[in-house]
Amino acid sequence: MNDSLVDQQWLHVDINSYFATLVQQEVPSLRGRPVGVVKDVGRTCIIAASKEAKQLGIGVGTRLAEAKILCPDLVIMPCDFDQYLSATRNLKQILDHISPDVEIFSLDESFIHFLPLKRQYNSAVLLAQLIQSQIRQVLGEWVTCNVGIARTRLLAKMSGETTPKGSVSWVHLPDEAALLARTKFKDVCGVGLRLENKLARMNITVPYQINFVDQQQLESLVGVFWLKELNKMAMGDDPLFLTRINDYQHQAMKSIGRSITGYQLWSNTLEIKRIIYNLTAEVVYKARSQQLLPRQVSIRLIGRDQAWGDFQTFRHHVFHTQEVFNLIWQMVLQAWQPFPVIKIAVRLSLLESWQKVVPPLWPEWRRRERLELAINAVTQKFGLHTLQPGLQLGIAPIMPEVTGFFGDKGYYLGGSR
Amino acid sequence: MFTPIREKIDVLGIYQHGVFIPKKIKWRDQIRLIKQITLTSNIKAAGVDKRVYGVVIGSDIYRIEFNRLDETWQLKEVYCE
Repeated sequence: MNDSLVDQQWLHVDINSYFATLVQQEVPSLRGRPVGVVKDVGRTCIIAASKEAKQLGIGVGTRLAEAKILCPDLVIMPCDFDQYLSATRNLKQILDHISPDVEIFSLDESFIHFLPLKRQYNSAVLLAQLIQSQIRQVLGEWVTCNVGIARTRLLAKMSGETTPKGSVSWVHLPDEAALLARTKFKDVCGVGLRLENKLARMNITVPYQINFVDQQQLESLVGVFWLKELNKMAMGDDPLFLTRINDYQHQAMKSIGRSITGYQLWSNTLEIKRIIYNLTAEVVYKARSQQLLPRQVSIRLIGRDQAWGDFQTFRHHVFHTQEVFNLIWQMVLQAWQPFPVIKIAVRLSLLESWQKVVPPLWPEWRRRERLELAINAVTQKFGLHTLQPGLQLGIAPIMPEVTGFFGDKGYYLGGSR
Repeated sequence: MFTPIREKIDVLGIYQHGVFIPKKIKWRDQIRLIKQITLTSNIKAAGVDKRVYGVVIGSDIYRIEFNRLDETWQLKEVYCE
């Protein structure tokens, strides 16, 4: 490989303060003002903040009351997931025109492999500037993005996230060590709070330090898997999960989950039952629309200071919403000691393609399958929860939503929706 | 915050490079000029594809929505602070 190309292999495109920037793009009077985005009217946790709000110390997870103290003029807007998903599809379209090999990492972040584009664009910086201008042209003049250029995805992302908004940054080979030595683990993609705290016990706060610590001691602290991954990070190489971003295109999802956090604690068992059914209907529909069937179902209920969860693994596959719901509800009835709940999560795991599964022959199963197919056909045409069982009558359904991490991109970008 | 209006409107626009660009709306017998389109989103609600435009009319920001199934326009929401 040409030496001059080694440090410009990957581009990381990251839209700045995505949700809040789109709000400011749509409402010009909010541009330049601190904006906080909450999940819905009445919610108290900020899920996105504009760059002006971030400068005042308001960020993801800041409580509304706390944010109002930091900035009394903060404008609060409810989020609009459909709008963000539409913008992400536009972003994907822009990048797909530039390269056939785009990796959509999250709702607002993508990686582009530059080497195959070298002939067409000559320099990664020129390509970065082209991407920035096209994003402004399609999504709007207020929408800016950072583009990081580096030898690996990890370095490109680290660089893009530590430079001023709207900039293009290029990590040259001699500068890699400095970047790895100044970026704290909390800003390193893939390192969560627990791992960060474990590393802090060995006084390790930046990836570069990993090169100089006792490997046996580190292994006993973090285990074999993370020892290997951290060593890759310390060299600026991509950890495993950054090399598997596009797996969703050719590899089926392994699990599908959905959770909801309430406005207030739920104590009514019927209400909890209805929410569990609602979430179950969504995950089963998502699984079936990708022709996947689970062999494991799990449920988790989280309260103020209590949590309960359970799962069941089967030798057979589970096909239908009602079947999954009955299994989950049985677990709840058998083992849950009731307490007020703030968060409910259901998950289908050990998913397998239904082409590998021989469907049962019982007449009752076939009847249920016909019913499920009919409901799925209506859902596909008119949206989720158009048909509801009697249990759900009279209550507003909880609709699907995308998350910033975009874990179900296979469902949203794969054409199932 | 956006406040719902949900009233039918007529829209006059042009096609530019194969893309429809709304230019004027007729709402309650008044014709209003769209100064700027701030954001365009393609959404799917209850199985129906819709295109939502954030538009500046006068000094206000509205959302107008084109229902791609029955080809009708609606003045969906107005932004009020």
